[in-house]
Amino acid sequence: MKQASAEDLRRWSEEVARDAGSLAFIPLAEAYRRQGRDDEALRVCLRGLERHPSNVEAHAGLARIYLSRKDKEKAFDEWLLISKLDPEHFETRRGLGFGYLERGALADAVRHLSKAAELRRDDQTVREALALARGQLGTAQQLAPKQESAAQAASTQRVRPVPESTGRAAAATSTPRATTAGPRLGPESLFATLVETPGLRGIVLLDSDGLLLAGRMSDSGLESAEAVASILSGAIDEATRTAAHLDIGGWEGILLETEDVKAYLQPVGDALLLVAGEGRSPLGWLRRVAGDARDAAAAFLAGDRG
Amino acid sequence: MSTDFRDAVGRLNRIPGVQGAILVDREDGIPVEADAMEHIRVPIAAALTAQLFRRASRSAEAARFRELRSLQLQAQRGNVFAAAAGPLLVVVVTDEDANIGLVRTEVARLAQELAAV
Repeated sequence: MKQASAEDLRRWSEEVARDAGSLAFIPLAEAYRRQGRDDEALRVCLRGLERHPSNVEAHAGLARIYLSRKDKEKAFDEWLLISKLDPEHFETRRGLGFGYLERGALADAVRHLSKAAELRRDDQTVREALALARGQLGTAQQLAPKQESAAQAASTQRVRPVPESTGRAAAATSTPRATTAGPRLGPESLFATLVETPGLRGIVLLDSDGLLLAGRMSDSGLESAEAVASILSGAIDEATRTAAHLDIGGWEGILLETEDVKAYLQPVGDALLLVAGEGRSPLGWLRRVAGDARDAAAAFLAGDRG
Repeated sequence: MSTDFRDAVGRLNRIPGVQGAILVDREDGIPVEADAMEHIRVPIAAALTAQLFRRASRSAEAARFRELRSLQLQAQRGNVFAAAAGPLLVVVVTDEDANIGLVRTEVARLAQELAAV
């Protein structure tokens, strides 16, 4: 788009003022953005989008305004939306590709940058970013089997079942709340008392990298607990963005209901705690158990740092 | 059907503390019908909630919890509810004063009605 003249600005402003449904808000907002008048650009664009909520170019313009305001998260959300409206939109594919690359989501970065490179073959920055993402993804994939086996060995050791002869006795005498005063409980006994509660399917504590710290699920093994961990890490990003966009403050928990299970996921410092009960469990009860588990986990993590 | 959808979201929006109710295409995250306060950007709220629901569904399946029916995102100043209703999602945003039990019941009822259509 060439530099808009004062005459252009006046004409678009008048058109938008005369007809609230006019599409002139798109070049007007872009012109304001280029002049560094980001607040006016944002106001004009948001107002126009109320009348044209599916207009791809308006959303793309809004993404650029957010970028000018250094709000990459909101720009990223606009691109996510545009990718549904127009999967062939180059700027969106490029934006998502760079966004995912910055987040270290390499497979997603490669997917979007490949599409962008397909749409515009002569774009040097996209080609360079794609090569970088592919290189990093290749390295990560080569390292993954080694890290996985090391993590599995460590986790198997951490959540090794407590021998029956000592496990019940230990569970009966060491309540989770005792962790603040006595010697630190090991990962196998951290939730021992709680996990025995009828109606509870399991409790899992994950570290900030999504690795299992403690706990277990009663009828789905360690393997699936770790699978849940890796997927949930992504869900947390989305929960955070959703809460931020709706301006309802930081997220405090996610309650999931499936055919079989009610599960409550909550942050404990940098870690994540998942408490799962049977599908017929009352929600209030589950939240209360989750509160007890959170106290135990917080004490465990404080001990870890202390 | 459009009028039915409008009535449905309007009904949810009349519950005290509800700031917006949206019916969302579950697959692509595009809003089908919405009744929301001005500050809620419906397309973004719809897209983000649908994405969160999809990710949570994958987690639930990985954990062998079976199919995800609903989720509630609790935040410091409000909640987001999402319930599966066939190809749609019923999404409701509330402030922190809303009666959670009532909202949950109404969302579940509407999801059931829509799924049966």
